[in-house]
Amino acid sequence: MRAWPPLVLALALGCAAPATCPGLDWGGYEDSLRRLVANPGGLEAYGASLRRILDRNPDGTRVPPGLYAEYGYVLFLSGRKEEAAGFFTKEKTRWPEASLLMDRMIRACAPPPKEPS
Amino acid sequence: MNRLALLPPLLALLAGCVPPGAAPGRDYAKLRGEDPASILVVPVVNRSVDVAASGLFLSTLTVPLADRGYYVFPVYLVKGLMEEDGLGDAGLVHQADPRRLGQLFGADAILYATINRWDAKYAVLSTSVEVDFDYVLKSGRTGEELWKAHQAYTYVPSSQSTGNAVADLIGMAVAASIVKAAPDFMPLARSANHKAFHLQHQGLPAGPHSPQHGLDKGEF
Repeated sequence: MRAWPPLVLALALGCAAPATCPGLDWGGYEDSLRRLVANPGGLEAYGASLRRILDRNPDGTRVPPGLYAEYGYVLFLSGRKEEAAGFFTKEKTRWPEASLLMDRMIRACAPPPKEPS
Repeated sequence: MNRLALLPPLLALLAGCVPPGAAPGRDYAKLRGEDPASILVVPVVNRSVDVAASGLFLSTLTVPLADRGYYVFPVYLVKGLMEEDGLGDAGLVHQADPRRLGQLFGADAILYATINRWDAKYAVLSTSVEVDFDYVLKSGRTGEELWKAHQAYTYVPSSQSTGNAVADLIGMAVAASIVKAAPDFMPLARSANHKAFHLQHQGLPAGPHSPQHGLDKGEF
């Protein structure tokens, strides 16, 4: 019973939409983001949901804009900066429009320079 | 001969008044001139009484813009960086120079969304749900306004069909949530976004990642 309103809505909107969708796989991204907004403590669940979408698109061609970066940011906030930098690089490669911001994020992931002993 | 000589300029004038495929009431010259590839969606200004509305509405903007063919910056990352940079207040962000945001994020354009209404009015006989949004797209390079839209929806449950299949289906989705005494505004927000971005002669032309890019000049 709970599942039908989004389904019929999607069908209705789909009928009215011009054919401009570039075939991206969002995989429930919007719902995951909405849950995070409603519960800011749900960062881990948000990260897991993003990871599921990325894992089912191993060649990256259907990964929507921002998803590699968003997952990288979740890793960054968790202190996993080396892994985060890898996802920021993927975002930059997949979507060159993000280059300036991703370069900034990659620099933020670099380990601090060692203090001279 | 003299009369014939007047014909071409007269025809040109007439044609100028009604160019074929022109967008009534909407000038796309600036938007097409800039042809933005990337859009930065900044935090939403919320004029409603529901404090959760801005975050919820923000979460609905990425997908329709990206499906229109634009690169959309990741909203959660953007929100986090803005808070770090002292730009956590949506009102201040909307007043800030768009060129500064354009440079900071490398964004071609910035989308400013405002919630004017996001209300449920409870009554014994009928409960109504109402949303009202403004959307403004500004250039990240010049700061100029490139496009804007306004969308408002009111839903009042009714057992009768409105005669519009899409409206009826949205209505059913909202009605199902009202029964639970916790109205779900998301179907109305999604529908408003869809109309704002897709409506011919009013919405956004297809961006560079859409196969329609550059081919939809008769529609936008």
